[in-house]
Amino acid sequence: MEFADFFEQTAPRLVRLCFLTTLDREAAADATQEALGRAWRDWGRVGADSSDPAAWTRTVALNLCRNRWRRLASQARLAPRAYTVDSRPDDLPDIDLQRALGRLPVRQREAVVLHYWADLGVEACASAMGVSPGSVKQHLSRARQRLAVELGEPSLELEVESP
Amino acid sequence: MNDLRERLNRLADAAAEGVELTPPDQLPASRPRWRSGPALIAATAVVVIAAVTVAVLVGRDDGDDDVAVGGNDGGGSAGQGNDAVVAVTYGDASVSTDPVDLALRFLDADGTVISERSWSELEQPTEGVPEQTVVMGGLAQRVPAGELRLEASRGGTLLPVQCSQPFTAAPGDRLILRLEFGATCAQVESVEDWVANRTGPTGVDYIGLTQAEADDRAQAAGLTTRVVAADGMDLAVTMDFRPDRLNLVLFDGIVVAAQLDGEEVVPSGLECPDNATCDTVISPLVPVGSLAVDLEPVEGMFIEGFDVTLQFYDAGDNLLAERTWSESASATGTTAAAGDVDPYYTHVLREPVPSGTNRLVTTMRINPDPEGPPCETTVDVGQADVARVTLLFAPDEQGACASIAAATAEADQLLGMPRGLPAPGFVGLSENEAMDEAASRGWTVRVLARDGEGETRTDDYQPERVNLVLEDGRVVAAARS
Repeated sequence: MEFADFFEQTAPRLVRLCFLTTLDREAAADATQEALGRAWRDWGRVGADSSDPAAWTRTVALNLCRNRWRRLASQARLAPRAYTVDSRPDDLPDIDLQRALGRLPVRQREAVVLHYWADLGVEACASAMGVSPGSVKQHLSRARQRLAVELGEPSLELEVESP
Repeated sequence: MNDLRERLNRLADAAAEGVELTPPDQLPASRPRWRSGPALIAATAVVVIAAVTVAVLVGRDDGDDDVAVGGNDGGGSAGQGNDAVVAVTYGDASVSTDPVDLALRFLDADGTVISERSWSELEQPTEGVPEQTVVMGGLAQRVPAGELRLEASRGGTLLPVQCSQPFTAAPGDRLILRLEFGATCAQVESVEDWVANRTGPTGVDYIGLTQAEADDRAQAAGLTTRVVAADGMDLAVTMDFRPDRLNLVLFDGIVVAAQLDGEEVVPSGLECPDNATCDTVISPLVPVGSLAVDLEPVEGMFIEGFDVTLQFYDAGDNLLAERTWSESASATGTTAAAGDVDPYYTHVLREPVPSGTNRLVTTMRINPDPEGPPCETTVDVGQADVARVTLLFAPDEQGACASIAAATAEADQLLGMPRGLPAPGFVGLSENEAMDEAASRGWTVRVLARDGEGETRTDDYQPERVNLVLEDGRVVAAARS
């Protein structure tokens, strides 16, 4: 696959993934730009037929999102940004969901987003997060318990993740 | 659940509106060629010089000022707008016996002087060796993109000479001008060619960080760092091998390459290149964390012949590395035989491992007695995180031979007991389960932190008390004090 095609297919989804895990549009854009930049720099290897460039880039982006220092660094650095984010501070929908996600520990939020938004199975979530499948199940279970309370949806707690 | 999916979708779609990314191949900087060029200098081909100089360099490694930037009109912080950054080097070694009287002028296409710099900005005396000066990198200068020229003149005790080197800088370019004063005034090289093949699997995630950020990240992963090259210059460093040391290459204060000692570029998967030491090689596609292994506190004398063999296995049961305690300790200059008994026992062995589930198999040996039974410990390690395992000298009443002291570096910090007595079997339990387990062992319980917030604590010593750090209702660190 050519990198340009990969970029076109991957970037929109990666921005969304990063936003849901950071709840910060600037950080999401920054992490996505950086992750795709790394994929491009190493495209000979990352884009090889035998590898999974989307999974690789997703893992890199998640790692970048997880590190608070990077968000701080992105605010302080001097280099010109390769992305633009329009300023719309208050008009994102579903403030309840934003708050509920924001109250989840990072790992639980990642598990929820990867499993329920990105539709990844437990094994794929584990691979993306760099933890064991057992840990993912644990994170999902706890996250559902919290979200059930925060969002007032008891049915969430009864959900069983797909393998 | 579908409702949750839909709400996530709506929120994500709204957040993504108005976010515009730039395809990396359309960014102004020239395309990096990370692996296309020949290795100019093998990363392990480092220079050994006088110990006193090494001491100077090691001392500087911890600071943020290894890169010579600044000067009257600014050296080169990261390129801004249409700027590029060039670094001028002179000579192959970072040590010389006399100061070099070298004056540099950067001019634009119209002949207007952009900046005048002097090599003396970089030179500093070597402590204790008055006839030596040390240069810790090239001279970095921010320049506007375009057709430019470097004028250099050398005076002093050497034959006075001057030359002029035209060069072209595109916006965002990072160039190295290697002064030769020969048929060519200066060779022009891109940073990407300079660092080709210098990034190992572990180092990939460090590229683009400042040195301070890289230090923080490395520390969290249980690694130490040192700067082996800066702004086009290879620095003099020791040739000792330390598996937990990350060698950084900086340009303009930013990491442009990084690799562990002995870690060469791995083309793909777990293949081992001919010129690499592969017992520390981890697939570049595998996120990396670190295991820190220590011994339970012990008082008394060194037991002749005591050693521990440690084997690290990944989730696929692949043997990642095999270490011995004595070799690991001696790499830090500690040998029990030399009388360093306490440092030998308090040594911490750190091993990079893939993040996720890992298995540690340890075998203790006290010559001439036969080896003890192998001790197996399974531990989850987070990306760029450190889990600490304490080995017991003998199985406890429950038969445990090792204890996960802390599942994460943060938990370990909150625990604050690098030499606490082990409390095997607690990490991973819920708070209630931990209470029950402690009661069954006749121990009291003290919670030192919950969800990242530390509780007030006393400094009293109660070996029958287990101290816990809780995260999300689960024990993530435990030790007795």
